[in-house]
Amino acid sequence: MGFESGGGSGWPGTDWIEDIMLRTAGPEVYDQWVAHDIPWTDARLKYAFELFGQIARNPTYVLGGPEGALSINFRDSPNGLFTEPPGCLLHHQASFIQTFIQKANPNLVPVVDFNVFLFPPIDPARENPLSGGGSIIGLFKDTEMNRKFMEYLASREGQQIWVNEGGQEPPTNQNVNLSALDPLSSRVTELLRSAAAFRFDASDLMPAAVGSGAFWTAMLNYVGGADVCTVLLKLEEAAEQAYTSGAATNGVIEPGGC
Amino acid sequence: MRTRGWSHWLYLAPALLVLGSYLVYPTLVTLYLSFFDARSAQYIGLQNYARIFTQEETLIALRNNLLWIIVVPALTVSLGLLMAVVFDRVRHEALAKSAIFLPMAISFVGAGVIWKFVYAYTPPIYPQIGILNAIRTALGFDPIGWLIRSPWVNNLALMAVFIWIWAGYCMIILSAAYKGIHRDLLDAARTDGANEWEIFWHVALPMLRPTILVVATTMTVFTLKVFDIIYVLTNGNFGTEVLADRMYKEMFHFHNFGAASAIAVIILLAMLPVIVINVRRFYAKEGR
Repeated sequence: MGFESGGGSGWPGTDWIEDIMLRTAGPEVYDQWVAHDIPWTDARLKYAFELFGQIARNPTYVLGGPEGALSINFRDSPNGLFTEPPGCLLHHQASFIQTFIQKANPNLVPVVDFNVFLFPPIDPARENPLSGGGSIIGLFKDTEMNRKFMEYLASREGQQIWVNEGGQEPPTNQNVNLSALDPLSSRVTELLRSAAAFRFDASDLMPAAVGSGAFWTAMLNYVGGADVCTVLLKLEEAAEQAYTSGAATNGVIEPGGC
Repeated sequence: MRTRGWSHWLYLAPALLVLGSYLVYPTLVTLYLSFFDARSAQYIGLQNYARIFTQEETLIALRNNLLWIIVVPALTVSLGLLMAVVFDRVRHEALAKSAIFLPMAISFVGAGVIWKFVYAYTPPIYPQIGILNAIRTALGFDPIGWLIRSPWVNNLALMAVFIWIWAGYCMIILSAAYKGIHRDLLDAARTDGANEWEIFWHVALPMLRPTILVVATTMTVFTLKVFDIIYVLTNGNFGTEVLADRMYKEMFHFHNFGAASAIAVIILLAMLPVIVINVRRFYAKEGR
């Protein structure tokens, strides 16, 4: 694990909570969480943090323990997989990390030397959804021509060009031929296509003061040993300030599971 | 002489225009915005200020600013003074001074990056690339996260960078003042039987007092404005944030114009007494 990321330190932790929330509470609750329809102190969020803490705060699970996880830059954190003896056996990260792995270890062959699998299900009663980020294309001037262009970018034809020209981001159009993708990106795309559900990265959808502020800090503090309810109450306080909508936004901090 | 008419305004106009548009106007707008909400749309009175003095993040930032003001000017000035006096007695004075002064030529962000390597941490099973942890492991200790351990290790680690940059500046100015003291005076004290230690405390130091005061107030102002070092090394995480970093976050990450403006006003107010002292000394020197 590596949570250091300069001005963005802490974000790799948010991806953990998002993956756990999707698997333990389900996509519907995940949406309510993003919209602040449920407070941060909700028992389901507390459970997600604690489950994450059982891994991240355990020095025998994490290379260097919490102090290592907090000190190490996210780009360097997978390198422990490839040392002799290995410093770690598994690494949780979004597909972009492939670039950093290959840059730091140019001799590795994707799929042969390292591979990818979807974060496993936690609650056997639930399906296994996938979370991720993505490029968003926006429109500043609503004209017929611009709309046609947007449709083209989303079409099989448009995205095929993207892939053929070396774009390694998994295409969202289901009909794109993946043969031009490298084998690992192609595998990620198949995971995306077969996922039970897809949800956009929660922290990226939240108001900045929460999603790229309090949430990041919360992950650092929690990994550093802070009490789960202290962290969640702080997050809820930040959410009360930052959100203008959401059923849980009312200026009152609900104790929930805390 | 008293001038009538308007011609003196003509001479003042360029300075007033520049000061007005680049200093007075932004200050007034900042003050105005600090009474409004994040989008500067709704008047919320003193709420932004209330937040500064109740919210945990800003309270930690205030505490750290206080810590910096207590520790850093004292250390930079005393180290600068020590080196100014000691190097005065060594053979290769210019060389020694240049080496200490050199960090001044490095940008703060550059210095931050350099020290990030000094404090670097790698898990114990790998070789340490950071010199401090390399020394620790060579002595048989485990590496530690210098920038993680709060509140003392990481805050002092950050202050060390600031001192590394500025001690040379203090040294140069104090050295010039020290050399300005008449040697006859020191020799007279020596003839009277004072030892070097007494000469320093009872002759040199009193004569350096005005310079020390100027250097110390300058360091206090710089310390209050510290931002870059913390931004690069910890981004204010792990209890290392200072007001300037908080202001930057509120403004450019969270787009909260009200909160950011209120913090700016607080920093300005904290700076005022130091400026007043400096201006007073300036007038005293001018003999007015």
